[in-house]
Amino acid sequence: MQIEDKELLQQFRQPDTKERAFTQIIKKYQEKLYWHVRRMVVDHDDANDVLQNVFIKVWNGLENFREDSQLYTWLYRIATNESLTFIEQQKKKSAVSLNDIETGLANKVVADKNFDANRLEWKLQLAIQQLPEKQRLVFNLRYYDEMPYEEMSRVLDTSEGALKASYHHAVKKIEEFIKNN
Amino acid sequence: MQEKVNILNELREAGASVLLQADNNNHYYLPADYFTNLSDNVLAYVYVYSLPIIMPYAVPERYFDNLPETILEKLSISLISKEIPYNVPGGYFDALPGAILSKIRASEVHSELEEISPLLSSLSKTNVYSVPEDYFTTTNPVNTVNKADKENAKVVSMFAKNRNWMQYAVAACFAALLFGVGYLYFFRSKPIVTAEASSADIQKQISSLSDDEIAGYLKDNNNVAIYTSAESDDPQLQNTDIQNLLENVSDEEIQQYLQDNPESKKVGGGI
Repeated sequence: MQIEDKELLQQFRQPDTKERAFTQIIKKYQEKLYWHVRRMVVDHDDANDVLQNVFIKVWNGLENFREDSQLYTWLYRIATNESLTFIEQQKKKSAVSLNDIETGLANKVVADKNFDANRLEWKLQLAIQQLPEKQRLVFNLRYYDEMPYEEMSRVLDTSEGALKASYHHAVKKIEEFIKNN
Repeated sequence: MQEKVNILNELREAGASVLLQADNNNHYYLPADYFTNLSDNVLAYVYVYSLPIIMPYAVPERYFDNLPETILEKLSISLISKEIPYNVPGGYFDALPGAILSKIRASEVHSELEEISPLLSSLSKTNVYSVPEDYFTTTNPVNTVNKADKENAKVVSMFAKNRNWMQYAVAACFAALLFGVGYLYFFRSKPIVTAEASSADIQKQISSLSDDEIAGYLKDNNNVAIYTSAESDDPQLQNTDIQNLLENVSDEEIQQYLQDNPESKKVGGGI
């Protein structure tokens, strides 16, 4: 573990420095976690809600964090689970099928005020939202966060081989979508 | 020779006997051929010193005027600290390994993507989503903490209802027990006894009653069902008790009773 993270954890475990350490942790990881969540839920307000929940869980669980993995990995894991939970809740609220949820997320992409269907970057976003949740996660973590498969395996609790195959399929699907649209 | 004799005579007349006896041979060293070469050497010195003193080398203009400052400057440079004056951003070297690793990972990811999909690898990773201005600078961790505390307060355990129900159940049982004890104490004036003991007691009391007294009671209270165990609700037990009660009663008598008292059919297990 990075020395700085170790120190932050030690400070978090002291009552008089707990809040300050927590603030430092948020400032250090907020942008990375935010974009990880945002790429899953698309909408900023939803991402904000999920991110708040993530850090609340961090506050409640950091005391018992066993340090058998990087703090970064642990945070990513919480953010991933919270994002998936949020999507699941959205699914239940609207009582629609999984495919319709993905269409719904694609609609959110289209609804973005800056959306431009002619730009390849937006087509890429639409293509990503067509992927199943887990495949989308793998793609985002690899493509945007450039996360090594070994680390991704710990975040998603999946074998490296499965992750590589998933990423390969995701890329092919996205390529096909962009070519056809 | 004559000169030498004259000098000796002078010394004798002067009384310098020591000098007369001294060895006047030359004991000083003299290089070989010194006198042979002497004349040539002298002439050479004379020639050299007779030459005009003209320096053929050129000297830069004002060289000697600036020489002192130049020497002082060189001295001052050698005294300056070897500390490099360039600034390095704070934490640069701490972050350097991570930065290098990130670059390596990015290169690996790019190579992998290029292999799978040259089209995708050619796309720029421009972020198309916007974020409210100052979102990351104004996100207040303290509010998150306060929200966390409130969330903790609002969280209701899955077992809370059961726990409350259990508490109510325990309280109800205790109240019933107290009522029962109070009832027995105030209205029966007898010590609390077990179900078996109370049953035996009731039977004893009933056995002390006459048949006429029992018949009169039953006649006045047609719908009363009598059980040997007042607290038992077990149908199996009730049936057993009834069988015991009716052990000595014939079927004809039972049929007659039922015909005379149709209401008792409605009572489960009554006599």
